[in-house]
Amino acid sequence: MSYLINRNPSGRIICLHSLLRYLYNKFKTEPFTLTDLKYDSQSKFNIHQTCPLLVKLSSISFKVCPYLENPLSDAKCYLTQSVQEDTQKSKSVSDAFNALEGMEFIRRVDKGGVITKEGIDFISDEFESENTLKRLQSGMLSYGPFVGLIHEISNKTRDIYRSEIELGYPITNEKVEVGGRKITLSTGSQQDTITRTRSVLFIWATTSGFLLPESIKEPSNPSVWHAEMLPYTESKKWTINKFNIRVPKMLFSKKLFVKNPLSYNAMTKSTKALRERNQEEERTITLKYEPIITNRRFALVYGLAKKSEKNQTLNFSGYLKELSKYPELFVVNQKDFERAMEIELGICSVCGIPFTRDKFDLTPLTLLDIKELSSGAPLSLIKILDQIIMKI
Amino acid sequence: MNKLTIYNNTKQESLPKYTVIKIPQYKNTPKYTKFKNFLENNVDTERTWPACDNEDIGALEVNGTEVQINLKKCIGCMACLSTVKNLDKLNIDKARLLAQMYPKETLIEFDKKNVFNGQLFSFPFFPDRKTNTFSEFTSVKETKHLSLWAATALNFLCSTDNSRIGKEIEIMKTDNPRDGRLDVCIDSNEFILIGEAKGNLDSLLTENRYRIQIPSYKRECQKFVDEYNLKYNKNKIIIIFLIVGGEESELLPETHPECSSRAGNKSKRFYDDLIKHNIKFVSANAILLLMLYSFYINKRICFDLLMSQINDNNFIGLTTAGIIQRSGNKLITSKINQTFLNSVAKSFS
Repeated sequence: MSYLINRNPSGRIICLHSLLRYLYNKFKTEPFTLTDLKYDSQSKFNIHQTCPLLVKLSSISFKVCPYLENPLSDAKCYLTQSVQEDTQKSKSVSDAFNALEGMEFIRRVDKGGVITKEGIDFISDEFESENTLKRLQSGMLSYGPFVGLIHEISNKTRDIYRSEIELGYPITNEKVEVGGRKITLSTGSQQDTITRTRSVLFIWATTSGFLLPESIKEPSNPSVWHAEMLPYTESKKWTINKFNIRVPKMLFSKKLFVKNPLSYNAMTKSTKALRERNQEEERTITLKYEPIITNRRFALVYGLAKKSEKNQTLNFSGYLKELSKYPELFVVNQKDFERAMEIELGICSVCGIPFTRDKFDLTPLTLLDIKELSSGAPLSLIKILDQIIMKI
Repeated sequence: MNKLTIYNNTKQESLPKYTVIKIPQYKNTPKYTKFKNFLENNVDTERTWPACDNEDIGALEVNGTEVQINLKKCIGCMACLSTVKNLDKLNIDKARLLAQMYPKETLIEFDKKNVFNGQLFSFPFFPDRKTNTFSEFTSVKETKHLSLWAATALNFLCSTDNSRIGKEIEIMKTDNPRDGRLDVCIDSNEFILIGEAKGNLDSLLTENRYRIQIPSYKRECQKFVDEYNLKYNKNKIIIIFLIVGGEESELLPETHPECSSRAGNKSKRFYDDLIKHNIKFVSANAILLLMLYSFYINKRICFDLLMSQINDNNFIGLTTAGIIQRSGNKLITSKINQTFLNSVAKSFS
C-alpha cells in the first residue's frame, strides 16, 4: 500500500538510511509503529546513534541535527521529529515511512511496519558503497510516482528544468451545486504540494544517477554516484533547477514491473489539507464525492494495468462509456465526465503506469503489482471493473 | 585578543548561561487560548534557542568551562547578553565589554551623547564575516533572526525583573480564515508589548498584510486583556507595534534628509498606511541602540516605560534618529533628550 511522498526531509536518502539502521538496531524484523520512528529521548535507541550528519556547533556541547531550524529543538531530528516535540504533527514521520515503503525497504503491517529483506540488504553496507547505489536504483524504480517522474524525464531530449514536471493529483476544477451555489471540489494537489513532491523525487533521481544537476561536477566513479553526489543532496536547500538527463535510453524498452504503485486509498489527497476555517463547506462536499474520485482514478490505473498484463491497449472512449453506466461509482457530473476523465488520466503516471496514446488507444508502458494497487479497493468495485475490461 | 570570556561555566551546565534564549510555550487548550494563557502565565513547556545564530554568525563559543564571544565573528547584536536579565555572573565589566565589541568611532558617539539626536545612528560594518552588519542580520530569516532577537532584547529592556516572553502566539482573526501569530509578546507588569516582526521595508510593503494584521491583532488581543483586567482587577495596557529590521534609512519619512526610500514613493506609501490605520513601528536598530546605550550608561533604559510615555496620538515610530511623529499635517523627527532617557532608566538589579 503506497502513498505519495511530499516532504523535503524524505529526499535525503542518507537520512532514510540512518532511520532504517536505527529501526533495525531496535526492532530487527519485529513490527514497529509509526511513533517508533520518532526520536525518543527516553529510549535506549535513537536515530542519532546511526546518523553520520550530526554537527557540533561552537556554542553547544553536544552534536545536533544540521537541518532543524532550531538546533536546540527537542524535535532532535528533522526527518522524524520526536516523541517529545513534533511541530509537523506526525506528517514528517509518516512521509518517511511512505518513502521507505515505496522503495520496498519496509512493509506495512497492521498499524505499523516491518523491515523487509531488501531493507536489511540496504543497511548492511555503508551508505557510500557500490551495493547501496544498486539497491537504491532498484528500490526507487519499484515506487510508482518515481517511475512516473523518470518516464516524464526520459521523454525530454535536452536538459530539463524542474518546473517542467508536474507531479501530483490531477486538478479537474469540477463544480457541484449546493443550495444554488457552485462549490469547486478540491481533489487536486495544491501547488506547494506539487513543488514538494517534485523536489523530493528530483533529489532521489539525482542521488540515484538519473539526473545530474547543472554546475555539479560529474562523479568520477559512477558506481558510487550517490556518494559523490552527497555534497549536493546533503545540502540544506536544493537550489539548482536545471538538470542533465541521465536516464538510460533502454529503461522503458522492456516493461518495468512496478511493485509499489499508489494503492486505492492513496488515489486522493488527504482532505485534512482543507484546514482553513472558511473551507468547511468545500471540505464537506469534497469528502462526499471522494469515493467517486477515488473509484474513477483507480478505474483508470487498474484498467491500464490489466491491459498491460495482456499486452493490450485500453480503448479510452469505450472504457469511459462503460464506466459512465455506473454513475454512483464513477461520475460526479455526467455532462462533464469526459473532460474530467481526460484530466484524471494524469493519475496514471503518478501511480507508475505511464502510457503512450494513439487517439483513443492507450498503450501502458509498465506492469503494476495489481495486488498492491488494489489494496484497500472494494471487491465489488474490482468485480465491476473486471467485467468492463473484459468487454472492451 | 579575539575571544572574550563572558561567563565561567564552573557548574558544567550543558547549556550554560548566556548561550540560550528560553521561550516559554503557553498552554493552548481549548484552541485559541494561548494569548489568554500567556497573560495568566500558564506555561506548558519551554523551548530553547541558541542565543547566537550558528549558521549566520556563530560568534558564541563554549570552550571548556568558558563561554566566549569570538570577536572575529561577532556583530554586536547583544543577544547573548540579553538572555540573562540581571546580567548575573557576567565575567566582564560592561564598559570594557562594549569597548571590545565595538570600534572606537561608535563609542565616541556615545561619549558625545549622539544618540536619538535627529540623525540615524551609524552601526559598524564588520568585515570578513558571513553577516557584516546588524541590518543585514535583521533583514533575513524573520522568525529565526529578527523575532527571536527582538523577543530577548525587549524582554531585557523591560523595567520589571519578572517580565516574560511569548513568541509566535496563535490568535484567531475573526475576519480572516487563516489564524494569526503574534511574533513577539512581552508581559511587563502593566504593559503588554506586542510586536509584529518585518524583515525590512520592502518585504513589509510587498507582503502588504500589516495594514490588516495590526488592527485585527489589536481587536483580538484587547478582548483578552479586557477579560483579564476584569477577572484579576488589573489595568494592563496593550502597546502594539511593528518591529522593522533592515536598512533603517528606508524607514524615515521622505522629508528627512537621510531617507532612502523616496524612489517608488515607498516612504510615502508606508507613512500613509501607518497614519490611516493608526499603526506604530519601532526599528530594530533603535532597540539595539537602547541596549548599547544602557550598557554605556550602566542603567537599563526601559523600553516599556519609554513607549508608554511616547505612544500618544501623534507618535508613529521610533528610530535611532529619534521619534517620528505627526505635527499637524507634517511628519517630524524629534530628538530624545538625555533627561528623558534618564527618566526611563533604572539600575541593573
